[in-house]
Amino acid sequence: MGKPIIFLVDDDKQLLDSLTTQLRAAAFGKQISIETAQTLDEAWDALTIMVHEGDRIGLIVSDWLFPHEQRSNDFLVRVHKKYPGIPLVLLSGYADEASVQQAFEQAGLRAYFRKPWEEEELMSGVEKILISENILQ
Amino acid sequence: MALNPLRFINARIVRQLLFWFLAIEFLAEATLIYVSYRNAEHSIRKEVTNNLNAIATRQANQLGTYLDGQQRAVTTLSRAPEIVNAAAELSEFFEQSGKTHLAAYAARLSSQQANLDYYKNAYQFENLLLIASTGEVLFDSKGTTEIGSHIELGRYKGTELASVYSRAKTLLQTELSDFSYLPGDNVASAYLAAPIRKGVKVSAILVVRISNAEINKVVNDYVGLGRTGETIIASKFGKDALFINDARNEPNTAFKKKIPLDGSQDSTLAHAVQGKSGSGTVVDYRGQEVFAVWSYVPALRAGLVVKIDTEEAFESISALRKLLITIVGITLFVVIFAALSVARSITKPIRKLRGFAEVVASGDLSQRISLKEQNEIGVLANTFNTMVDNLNESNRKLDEYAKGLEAMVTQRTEELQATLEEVQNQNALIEQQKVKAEQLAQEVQQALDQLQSTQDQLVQSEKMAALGQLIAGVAHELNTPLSAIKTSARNMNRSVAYALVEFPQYLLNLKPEQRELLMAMVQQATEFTLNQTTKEDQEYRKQIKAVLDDNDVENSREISKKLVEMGVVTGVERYLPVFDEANAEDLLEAVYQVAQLKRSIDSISIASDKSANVVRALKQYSHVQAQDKFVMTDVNETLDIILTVYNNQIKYGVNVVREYDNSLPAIPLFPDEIGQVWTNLINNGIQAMKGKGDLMLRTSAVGQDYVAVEIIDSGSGIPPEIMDKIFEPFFTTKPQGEGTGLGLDIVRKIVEKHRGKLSVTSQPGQTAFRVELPLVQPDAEVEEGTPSPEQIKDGIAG
Repeated sequence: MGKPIIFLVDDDKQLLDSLTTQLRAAAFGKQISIETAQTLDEAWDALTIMVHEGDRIGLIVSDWLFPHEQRSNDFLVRVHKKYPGIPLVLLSGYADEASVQQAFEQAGLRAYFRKPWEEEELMSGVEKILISENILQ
Repeated sequence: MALNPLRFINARIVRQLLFWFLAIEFLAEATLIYVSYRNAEHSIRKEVTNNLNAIATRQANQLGTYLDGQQRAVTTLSRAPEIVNAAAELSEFFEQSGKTHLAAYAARLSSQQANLDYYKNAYQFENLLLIASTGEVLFDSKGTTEIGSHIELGRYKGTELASVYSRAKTLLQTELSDFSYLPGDNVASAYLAAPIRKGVKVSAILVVRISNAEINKVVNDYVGLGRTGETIIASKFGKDALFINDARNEPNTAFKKKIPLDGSQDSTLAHAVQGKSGSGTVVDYRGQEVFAVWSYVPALRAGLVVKIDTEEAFESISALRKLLITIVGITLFVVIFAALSVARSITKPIRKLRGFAEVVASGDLSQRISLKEQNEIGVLANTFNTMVDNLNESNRKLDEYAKGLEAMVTQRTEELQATLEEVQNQNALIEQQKVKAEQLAQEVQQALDQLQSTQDQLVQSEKMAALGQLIAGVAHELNTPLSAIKTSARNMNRSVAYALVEFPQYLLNLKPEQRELLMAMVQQATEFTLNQTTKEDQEYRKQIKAVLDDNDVENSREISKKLVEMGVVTGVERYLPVFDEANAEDLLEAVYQVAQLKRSIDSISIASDKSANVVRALKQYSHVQAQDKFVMTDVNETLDIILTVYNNQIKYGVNVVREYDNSLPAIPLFPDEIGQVWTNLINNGIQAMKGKGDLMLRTSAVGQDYVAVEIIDSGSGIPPEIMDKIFEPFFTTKPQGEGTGLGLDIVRKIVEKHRGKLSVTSQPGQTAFRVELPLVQPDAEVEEGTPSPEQIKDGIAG
């Protein structure tokens, strides 16, 4: 069994790469493995495979919240419905508080960080969640 | 019901029946009576005639027989020897002495007296005379004539006795005289005279007087003559006819009653006496109408009339007539009675019916008519009853209806009353409402005016809303690359010291072949340009992991991942020695740290380009926003700008397909407003697809005058029932508070402002909005376009 996985979902490859690097550099970086996905299908497939293979998903960080109310099937909501045990973190540059509030309710968000984020803030937040989930000691 | 007889008689049916009954009865009876009466009269008349004829004939025959007998008797007597002798003796004696000595003669005569009387009685003569041929009376048994007196002289001269004596003496045969009176005799008699011959010489003439009684006996035999019938025998007596017998109806007529022969009194006698015969109804000597048969009786030299009073003769006729009259009377009575009865039997029920009808007509339906009649009238009555029953039933129903109706009417009236009151109340209310409505109308007018102004404001606010959305999107578009830049910078900052100071030291501590491999890895990492997608990363990871697994490298998953992150994706076989080292993780971490610098720099570079792109698009957007007049613009470019701005909304689920006609010329547009059109239509499309599906943008030339832009989504389509409402202002399918409903209205207005055309076709899976924009805008100020299409494309791509 591998390390617990932090799954990053964003359509911006540069953001995924830089965040991956940042997480690897974090204090808990050695204890976790990082997977990324850039599209919805990719993300869903990867998640399904990971769950299937018995990987432990410690956290999902995603920007996948859309301002359109019709998009109730957005990724985080769907994950929350299917895997309610996985902690979810929203990382978004979208400045719509109402949508964020909606996401907290619908997707059971554990945390929300704005883009661009402060490294310490994000890392400590992620760490707290991982500790609370008994992924880190 | 009291019956007024007059009214009854006056009833038309009665009169008619009466008339016809009588008419028929009269006709029948008159014919019957006429025929029977005629027949009866005829036969009776014939019978009476026959009877009278028979009587007349019989009497005439009896008289004839009698007279013939008398005549023969006289003739016989005149030839009897005693008489001849006596006559001769007396005659001789008288001749000799008798003329002078009558006494002596009388004495002599007395000797013969008995002898002669004997004959007179034997022959039942009334008288017997012997008259000498010289004319002197020789014997007279009754002494009516004077013995010795001359019959042709003196008092007897010219009498019937003298006449018959003369004829007998002359004709030498028995002769009969007419009835006549002899002087001194009050009884008319007829005489038979017969010559008494002695040899050839006539000694004397025997004269006998015929018994009237015998004649009367015959004549007065009334057998077959009823009560009034009689026979009259009359002989000519000068200019008169003299009754010879006593009439039955008038005594003492014999030889006394005379009837003139001119027929003025009794034509039958006159006729009969004058030798005529006949029969008929005549008036007799009494002035009485009689039926008579008359004839002449030669033997008697008299007329015979047998007659009977017509009254009696045709008594049966008159009896018949009386009977008939009686019958007629009775029949009439019976007929009238029958007619009246029948009429009454007809009219009575009819009258009853009429009375009943009047009762019914007066409205009394409780009565029923009961008739004994079983005929048509009875049936009519029954029908009438049935009719009345029906009427009753109808009336009852009508009554029920009426009652029901009445109740209903009452109810309706009450309802109406209530309604009326309500209506009045309502009217009052309406009046109030009207006032209110008028106020309201004014208010509505004001509201409309306000709405007109607010609509403009709303259009403006819609613009602002779009702008707000745009800003939110732009913020995100910028925040993401900024995050990448910021994080990459932090990562670089963290690694740069290591790379510059620690890494060279670390390399120095390694074995030369390890050092060489690490340096090669660093070299390869720095030369590799970062993968654009995670998908590419995954492919490389698979390949590398396969290679590592083939070479039995432990922890192949982590190593392959790390290698891809570093950018070491090809020819990993050469690094296998590194992976076999015990400190392989440290070695790789060292290279990762260094390679990370290169990757961060790449990330910053790419993210910076993205930020620049967004800023440029925003700049262009804000540039076109400022325009307030037609600007010659590339339509494709305007679409691209909007797509760039809305990238974040469409990039995850929407597959955008652009089918641009790149040969389109620039056309006059209000760039800011046309952008609003695309924004709205693209937004609608994305929403219709719920953020996932195909969005096609197609541009094309339409003839020489228009450019067409089609924005086609693969959403569920617009329901037909709202198809014609979607362009109406304030119409929205979005939840309350999330859409103004002005989007498509604004689109329409803007397209109209461009003098373009807007249309929509929709079916599930394909909804197409088509905007056609003219190539030229005559009579409008047009500014030359600022960025050329090529410039814009370069800018976006770069």
